[in-house]
Amino acid sequence: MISVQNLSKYFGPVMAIDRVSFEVDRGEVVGFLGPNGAGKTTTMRILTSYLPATSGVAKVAGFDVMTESMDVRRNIGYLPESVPLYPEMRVEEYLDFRAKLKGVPRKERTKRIEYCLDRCRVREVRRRLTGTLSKGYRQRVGLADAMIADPAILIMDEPTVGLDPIQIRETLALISELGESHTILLSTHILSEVEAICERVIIINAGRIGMMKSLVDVDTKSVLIVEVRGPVDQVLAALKALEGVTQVVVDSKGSGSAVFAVTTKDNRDLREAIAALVLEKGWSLLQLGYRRRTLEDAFFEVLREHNPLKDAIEARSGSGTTAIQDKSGRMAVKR
Amino acid sequence: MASRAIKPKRDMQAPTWQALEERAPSVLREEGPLVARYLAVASLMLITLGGAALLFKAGDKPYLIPPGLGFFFLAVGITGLLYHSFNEKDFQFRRLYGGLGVLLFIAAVFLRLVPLTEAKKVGDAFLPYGALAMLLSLGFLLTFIKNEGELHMRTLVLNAVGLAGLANALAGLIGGGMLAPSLSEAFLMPSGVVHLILGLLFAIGYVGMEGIASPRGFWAGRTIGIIGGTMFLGALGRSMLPWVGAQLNWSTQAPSFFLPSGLVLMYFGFEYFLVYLGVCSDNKLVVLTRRELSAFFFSPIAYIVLVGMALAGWLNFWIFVLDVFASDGQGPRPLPEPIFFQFMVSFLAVIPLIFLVPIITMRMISEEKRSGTVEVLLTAPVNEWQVVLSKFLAGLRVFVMCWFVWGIYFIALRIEGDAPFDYRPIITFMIALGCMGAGFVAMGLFFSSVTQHQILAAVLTFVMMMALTLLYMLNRFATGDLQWLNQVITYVSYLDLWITSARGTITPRLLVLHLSVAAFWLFLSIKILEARKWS
Repeated sequence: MISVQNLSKYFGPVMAIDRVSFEVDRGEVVGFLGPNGAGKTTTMRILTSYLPATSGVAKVAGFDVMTESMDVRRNIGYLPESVPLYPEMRVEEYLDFRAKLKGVPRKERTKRIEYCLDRCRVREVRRRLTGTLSKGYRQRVGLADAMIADPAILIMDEPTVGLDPIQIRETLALISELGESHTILLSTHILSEVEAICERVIIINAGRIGMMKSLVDVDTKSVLIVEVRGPVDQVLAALKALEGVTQVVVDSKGSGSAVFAVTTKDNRDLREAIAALVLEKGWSLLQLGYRRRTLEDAFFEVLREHNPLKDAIEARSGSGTTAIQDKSGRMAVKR
Repeated sequence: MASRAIKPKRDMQAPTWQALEERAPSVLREEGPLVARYLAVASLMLITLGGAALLFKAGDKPYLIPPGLGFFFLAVGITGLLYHSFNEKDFQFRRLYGGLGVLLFIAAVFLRLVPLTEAKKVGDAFLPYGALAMLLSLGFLLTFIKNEGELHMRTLVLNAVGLAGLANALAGLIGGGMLAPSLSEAFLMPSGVVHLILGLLFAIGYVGMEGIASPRGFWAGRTIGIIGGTMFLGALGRSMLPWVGAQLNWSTQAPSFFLPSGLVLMYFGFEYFLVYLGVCSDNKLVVLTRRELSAFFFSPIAYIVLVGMALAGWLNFWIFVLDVFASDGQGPRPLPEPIFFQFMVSFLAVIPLIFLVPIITMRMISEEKRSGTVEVLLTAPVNEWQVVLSKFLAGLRVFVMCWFVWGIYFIALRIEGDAPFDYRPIITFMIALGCMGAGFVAMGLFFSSVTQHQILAAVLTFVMMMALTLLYMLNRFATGDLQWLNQVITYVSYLDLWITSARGTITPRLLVLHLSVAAFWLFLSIKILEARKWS
C-alpha cells in the first residue's frame, strides 16, 4: 500500500533522507525506528504529501504523492508528533469538523463520531475544550481524528511520546487492534513499543535505511552462552577447536568460572556437543543456553555501521582510508 | 515481499493485560447557583430602579434618576436575569423564567395584533416595546429549554419557538413581498424588517437547540434556506419587472419595487440563505468558513473589536451632535443633505478602519503556522484555495459586521432628529465599504500568511493601512505640474471612494479596482501556502 523508491529530501544543503526505499503491504503494522533527527518525520511528511521530495517516487494506496495528492490524502489518516488541535473547539465539534473536511457523509457522520469517541476512549471529555485537555487525551483525540474517516492507511508520528506508562499501554493496545484491519506505519524511537506491536521494523539512521526486517527475522544470529568452571585458556582453546564453531569470545570472568559467547556456523545447535566436550574434559558446566539477539542489539549495530561523520570523512579523504574515532571523540584518518 | 491479506487476530507479543478503567477524566464539581442567584437579586434591584425611572418620566413626574441611566439599569438588570436563568437548574426558578418568557411573548403578540394607539391601526404599538419583548422572550425561552429536564415540556416549548420563527419570517416575506409596492414599503420599514430579524433569530435558536443530527432540525435548516431563496429570487424578480416591462413594451408600467422593498428583501433572503448554508451544508468551503467564524467568536477578539467599534461610533456620534449644536448656541443648525456624508466623512470614522483590519486579520494564518495546525489542515483532502478563501470570507464577514454596529447610531439619529433623512447614501456606502473591506482583509490575510508571528503581520498590515490613508494628503501637492497625481491618488487611496460613496454615488471602476486588488492578495496568499511544495 505504501511504496517508496529512492526517496531523497534535501533542505537546502542539509540532507534529511538519502535514497530511502521500502514497502509496506496491506494490513501490515510497520515500525519506523530511528534516533532523533534520522529523517522519520520528514519521510512521513512526504508520504502525507505535505512536503515534496527532492527526488524519488513515493506511492500511497497506488497514488503518487505529488501528482495525485488529493487521492492520497483521502486514503490516509495522519497523526503528527505534536498533536495540533484548535484550542477553542470542543472535542466533538472538532471531530465533526474533521469528519466534514474528510468527506464523511452526513448519514454516517454521527455514528462514526460516536464510534471513534468510544474506541479512543475520549467519550468522557467530549464536551471539553481541546485546549484544556491533558497530553494523553490530546493524543487520543488526535488518534480519533486520524481514524474518523476510516482510512485504509494510518501514519502516526511518535504516537506515544509524552504519555504516562498506563496510557502508553492503552495506546499501543489500540494501535494493535487497529492494525488488524488497517495498514499502519508508525514511527518511534522506543524499541519496546516496536517489539510489542509491530510485525516489521525499518531502522533509519542519518537519512539512510539501515535495516528492514520482520521482527521474527531479527532474532536470527543467536549466540550460545556457556559458563564453565575451569582454566580459561584451555576452555577457550577447546571450544574454538570444536567443529562448527566460528567465534568464541570471553564475555566475563568470575571467581573460578568464566562465561563464553560462542557463535556457530549457520546457527547450528551445538549445545549437546559443547556439553559433552566440557564433561569429557572434566570441567564443571554451570550454564548453557541461547542469548537472544534483541532488537536493541540490531538497532545499535545499525547505528554503529552507519556513522555519517565517518562516511563523510572517508569520502573526502579518498578510497582505501578508514576513519577512526579516538577516545576523546576526535576523528583520525588511517590509510 | 509476498502480499499479505488482512489477517485474523493474532497473539500480542507483549504479555496480555487487562484494560484499566478510565482514570484520566477529572472529577467535575458543579458550580452552585449561588453566584448567579446573588446576581439575579442585584439585577432585580436594577430593573426596579430603571423601570421606576422610566415610569416617572412617562408619567411626567419629577424624577431622580435620569431616563438614560434608567435605560442602562434596565438593560444591565435584564442581562443579569438572563445570566441567572442560563445557570439555574432548580425546578422553580426554571419554570419561573419559562413563564416569564411565555408572558413576554404573549405581550409582544398582543401589542402586534391589537390596535391600541389612537390611530387604531393594527401593529402600531409593536415598535419598539413589542419587538423588545419578543426578543427577550426568545432569550428566556431558550435558557428554559436548555435547562429543562422534562422532555415533553421541553419539546413543546422548543416547537413553539420554531413555529414563532416561521410565523415571523413568513409575515415578513408575505407582507414585504406580496403586496403592492407602497403597501409593502409601509409594512417593511420598519416593522417588517423587525419581523424578519426576529424570525431569523427564533429559527437559529430552534435549530441550535434541536441540533442538525435530528431530522426535524435538519428540515428546519432547510426551511430557512427555502424561505431565504424565495425571498431573494422573488424580490429580484419583482424588482426587475419594470425593466423587463420597458424592454417588452408593456402597456402598463410595472410599479417600481426595488427601493427599498426589493433591496431589503434581497438582503434578508441572502442572510437567511447564509444561515442555511452555515447550518446544513457539507461543502468544504462552507465548513471551513464556519469554523473560522466560530473561532473569531470563541476568542475575545470579536468582542473586543465590536465593543471598540461601538465606542468609536459613540465618539463619532457625540462629536457630530456637538458640531450640529455648536454654531451659535441657537439650537441645532440645519444640515444640508446628505446627512450621512456629514456623519461618515470624518477622521474619527477612518481611524477605526486603520486599526480594525490588522486586528481581524493578524491571527488568521500566523496562528495556524505557529501552532502546527496548518500541517493537519493541509494533509486533509482540502485545497489551499479553499483554506485561504474561507479565512477571507470569515474575515470579511466580521469586518462588515463591525460596521453594522454603527447602525445603532443612525437609528439614534433618526429617533432623536425626529425627521427622516435620505438613507440611500447608506446603501452606496455599504457597497463601497464591502469592496474596500475585501481589498483590506485580503491584504491583511497575505501579511498573516508570510510570517508565523502575529504581531509582525499586524504591524505590516497597520503600516500599509496608514500609508494608504495618508497618501490622500499628497493631494495638496497635486497642483500645476503634478496635476496627474490627482488621478493616481484617486485610484491608490481609498479615501476618494469613501467620500464619493458617502455622497451617494457609485463609481464602478473604483469598486472593480478594490475587488481586483483583493483577488491579487488572495492569489499571493494561496501561492505562499503552496510554496512549501515547491521544494
